[in-house]
Amino acid sequence: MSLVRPLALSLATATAGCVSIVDKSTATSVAPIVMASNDVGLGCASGEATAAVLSTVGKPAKGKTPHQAQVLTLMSAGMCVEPLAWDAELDRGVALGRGEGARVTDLLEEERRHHATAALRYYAAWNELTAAWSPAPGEGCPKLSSKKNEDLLYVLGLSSGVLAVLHDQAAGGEVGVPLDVPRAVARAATCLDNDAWWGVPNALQAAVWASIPGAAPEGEDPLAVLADSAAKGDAANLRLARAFQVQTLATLGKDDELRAAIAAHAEALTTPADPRFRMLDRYAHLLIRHESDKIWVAEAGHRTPGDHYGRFPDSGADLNQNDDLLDELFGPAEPTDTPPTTDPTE
Amino acid sequence: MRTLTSLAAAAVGLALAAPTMAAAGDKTLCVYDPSGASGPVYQHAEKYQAAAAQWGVGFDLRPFTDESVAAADFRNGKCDAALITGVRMQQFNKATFSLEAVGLVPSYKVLKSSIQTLASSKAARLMTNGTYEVAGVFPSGAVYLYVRDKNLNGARDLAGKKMCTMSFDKAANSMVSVVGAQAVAADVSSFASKFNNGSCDIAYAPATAYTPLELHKGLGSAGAVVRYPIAQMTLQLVIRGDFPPGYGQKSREWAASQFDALMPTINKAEADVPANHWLEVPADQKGSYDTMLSDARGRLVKEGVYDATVVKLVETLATR
Repeated sequence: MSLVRPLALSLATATAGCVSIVDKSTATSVAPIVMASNDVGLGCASGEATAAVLSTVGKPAKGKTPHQAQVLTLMSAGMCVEPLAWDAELDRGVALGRGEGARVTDLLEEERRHHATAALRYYAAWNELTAAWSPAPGEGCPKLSSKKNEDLLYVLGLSSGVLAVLHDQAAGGEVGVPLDVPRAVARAATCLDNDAWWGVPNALQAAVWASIPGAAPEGEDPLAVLADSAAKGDAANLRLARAFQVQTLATLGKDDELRAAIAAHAEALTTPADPRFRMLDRYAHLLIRHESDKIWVAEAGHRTPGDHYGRFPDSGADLNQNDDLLDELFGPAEPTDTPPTTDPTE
Repeated sequence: MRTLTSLAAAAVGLALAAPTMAAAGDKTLCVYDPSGASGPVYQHAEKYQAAAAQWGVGFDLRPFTDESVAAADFRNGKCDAALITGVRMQQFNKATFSLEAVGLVPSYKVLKSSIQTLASSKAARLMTNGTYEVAGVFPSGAVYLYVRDKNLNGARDLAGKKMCTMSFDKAANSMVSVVGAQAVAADVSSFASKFNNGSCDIAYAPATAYTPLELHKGLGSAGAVVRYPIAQMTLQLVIRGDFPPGYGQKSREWAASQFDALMPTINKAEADVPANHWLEVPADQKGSYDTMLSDARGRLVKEGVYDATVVKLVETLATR
């Protein structure tokens, strides 16, 4: 009874028209605490736990719910499902390497289903963004209060839009996320201060340009913009733009550049993340590590060993680089096809 | 005729968080998708990769956003297989390239029947050309004319109008000259902006291009998408080299079995074009379109661009 009463009071207060209070407290009290944690799993679990409850606050039938708060909770909830899809994808790679055909097909379907759930949540977050502010994303810039953390929520909402499309594509379009969302995101990103948000707005824009034929304005080089943005993020110790760069390179099949970007990220990690936004930096790390894992699984059959992050299976040191010195010392090496010495213990 | 083939795929995907698995395999499949590994063609290639694994062949997938590079890498032996659009298949197999002949395939029903017929073991001889073998054909959407002025809906009205045309698309360029239009050179990256800013009066593309490329901007309130398939866009899988005996036939049969699974995406893209942007061709005008395209097709068969056997086969299937 003692627990039920405050909850009932809280809901009653909220449903009585305190949607703006929920929005404000989520943005200014909850978000900073969640963002300061580097436990992505905890953050996503919080989102999963509260998203449904928040959707009942206010007057849902009239669409008056705490939309800003829902951007945060639904995006966080999406982050819970993403790793499930990643793991299925990596397991699929292992199965492919082993020639386990039926298992590959099964894992592809498992992965697809997780992508569909992720798309559903990210798209819901995007829809909350479009409901929270006007004009609609891409149609103009809303007035965002930095003091109320609205610009942070806007960044997250835009990212959710892109993620929704991506996951829905990977799910075969099951959710039906409109394909014009990315272009809206690219336009809306210009509403944000690129320097203040660690290069993320420009990175989002460039990632869209790189992925849609003809989307880049004349004279713009999306990959150059992504590289600049990644450097900006590295310098700010918030490496989300680097994640966008890495994933764009992976998608475009730019393998050499991809490895270089992952290595750059590994190097940047020697500096701790901005303590206010450890969650986003950690999320970026997980995104980038997944790309590294894909390379390792394809080439070595397993995920990136923790102490090898930033390196790749074929990037071992050249053991023969000083053979000329050894030849001078010991004479030319014996032919490699010489039969091995018989083990005397046999 | 062939359009922005690449846009077959053009349902967009983005570069972020793309589920791309370059899995270990002893063969390489080069995949053209304008959106790279996050696009729908690449996703489809992953399904193929899984199927091939069940047949004992492991493929590494490599995404390409430039189709000419994908085709060149395949031709130069850097890939053992390639998944590319039908228009690029002209250099590898004229028979399956001809499925995209102007006005040849009037409906998805006929397209399905055509793909299934060509996947029959009795048609296997058409699938091989030298060292190249077609290992699958997939639907990618009917190609429609996008006109900035809906009054330009008759074949005669096209004379003198500027039409965005892919330079590598010989059939399209031939068609442009037949109707007396003026070709405006374009490519996959530029055609939408040229159409939207008025540099072209007309473009051609599947409905999958409408939303992601925001073609509604070029259509405005005066333009329209003419609901008459001037061609069918397809994706085709071509292989070369050392594959297990019977691999190509098994692969073609699998590809044909995927037709129904691929159609919902195409149907949805067509349904997503608002009704007020579709322009139905009046029954009395449809005949003139049919005749114009049939004449053009006949000329291109005579010129050796299209394969006469496949054209005749599909024309017969269309009457069944």
